[in-house]
Amino acid sequence: MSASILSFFATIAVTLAITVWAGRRGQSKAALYTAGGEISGGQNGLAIAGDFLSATTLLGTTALFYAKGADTALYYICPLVGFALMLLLIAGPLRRLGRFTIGDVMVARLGDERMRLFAAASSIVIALIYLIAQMVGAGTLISVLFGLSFTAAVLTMGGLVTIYVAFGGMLAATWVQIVKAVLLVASVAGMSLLVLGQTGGPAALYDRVAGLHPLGAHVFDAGGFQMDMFSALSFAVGQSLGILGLPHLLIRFFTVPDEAAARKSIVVAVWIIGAVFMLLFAIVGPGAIALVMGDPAYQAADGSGIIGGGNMAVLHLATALGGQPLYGIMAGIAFATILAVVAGLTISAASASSHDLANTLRGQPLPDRTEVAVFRLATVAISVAAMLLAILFQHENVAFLAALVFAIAASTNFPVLILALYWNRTTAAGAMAGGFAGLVGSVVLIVLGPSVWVKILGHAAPVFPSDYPTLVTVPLAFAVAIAVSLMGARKPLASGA
Amino acid sequence: MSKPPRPWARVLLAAVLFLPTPIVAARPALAGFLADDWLGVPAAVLAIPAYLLLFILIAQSNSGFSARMEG
Repeated sequence: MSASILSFFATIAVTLAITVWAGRRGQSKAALYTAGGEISGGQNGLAIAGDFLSATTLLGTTALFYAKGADTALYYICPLVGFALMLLLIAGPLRRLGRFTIGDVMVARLGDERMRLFAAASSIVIALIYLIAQMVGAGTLISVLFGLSFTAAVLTMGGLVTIYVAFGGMLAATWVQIVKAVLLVASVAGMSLLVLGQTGGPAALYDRVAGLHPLGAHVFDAGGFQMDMFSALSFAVGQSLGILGLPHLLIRFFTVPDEAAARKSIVVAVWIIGAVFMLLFAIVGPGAIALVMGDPAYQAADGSGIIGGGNMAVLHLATALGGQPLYGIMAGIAFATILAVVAGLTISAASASSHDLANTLRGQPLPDRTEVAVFRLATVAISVAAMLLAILFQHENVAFLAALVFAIAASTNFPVLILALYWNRTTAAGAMAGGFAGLVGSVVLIVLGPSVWVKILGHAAPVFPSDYPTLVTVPLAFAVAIAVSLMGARKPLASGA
Repeated sequence: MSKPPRPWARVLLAAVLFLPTPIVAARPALAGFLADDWLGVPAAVLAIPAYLLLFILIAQSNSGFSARMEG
């Protein structure tokens, strides 16, 4: 049995064992939604890191460094800015005001149960689009790594995540994310040491990179992405503020006992994420160029680049450093990375469906046992929808979906949460109007932008000149929310932020 | 009793410190130094991790500030 197949089954066995353990700890609503609020700040920090560090981070950004060089730093710096702002503005109030979902926080501040519908809609839309983007990319990757068909890869991934979330709930998702975060940090640190050992130290590594890369020494300079100023600013703002609106990260604050633990969890997460980013930028990315780019064993015979596509750069680097055993370990970690992120997204959409959507549509709270049953049903429904859509879009270029997720998160949840928490004149009507404007604006401008309007729909020129609309849609959402709030009746807010 | 501190000055500080990132990406001539030799390695591999560390430390300090702000 090859090392990668062994690590595939080992990942499945460990994650299912965690699910069985978590399932025995409790099946109540609180246990499934928030692990009973008993996760410590340190554990939650690891879980946030595990939730955030996706396959895109490990494989995608290294592939970008391999191709485009130092501009990849945008993908590393922007999230840290977002987490710093999240800690300052959102973490404490979110924990104080919410119990299970973002809808709880919006209702607590704006005093209108209809906010649950808005919170549920935005959480489900963001999670579903993110799930499609993750599953299409991950399905291709898993099929390359483990020799499965795309459909089998997506069904395996979706099936496993359904089991984790439906039976193990937040506790299982949390510990899958913690295990994945520890493995990821250890593997990135280990690979960094091996890269330095094999290339003869930093100076020799960077000399080799400059000698091999088509950009020469300019691989370390800015400009690789060739962005105009509007796109660069809009991309950076979206990547930063989007973090403050991603529901699968926000609901992690409900798993800790108090605000101090919520704050500690971000500090821990930021140190872990920052350390991984530093190693990826300074050593692993250059290491992939130094040890993979110049080796014909990893290059496709037709001259189209590296075998398996750009995302395989890290995995080929693992082979170059440690042969098939290290390749197998890294393939297993990549698989665990995908499962952990998909689990986080699924739980955020399922809890929004059962706690916010179902209760509001019924007009009164469901009995706890019924709500748990609805949560499980929603988990299955969301997983099935994501799997079907991923299979449907498997041959499409879905790269624009990642930009869409961050644009929607930054333009809907972020403005609504900030205004609800910090501007006492915000009304429910204003918040909903602003969030809706941000959502519609993001979708429309991305469809009119180059990636969809030109590359997918085949028009000659884009109507909107950039793929990144956040610089327009965030101010739009704030302006609409403030205008509608000022026009509406003034009503005292329910509780202070 | 003193008024609790509000966060906006720190948001502004983070924004000002963050702005060079997209500006440099869009105007690479501003960052010609990133490929220069610093201590035997390209400046980028020292400058970018240092910049990341700066934001880690901002997040770390925001924890205490946020606690004071929220009482």
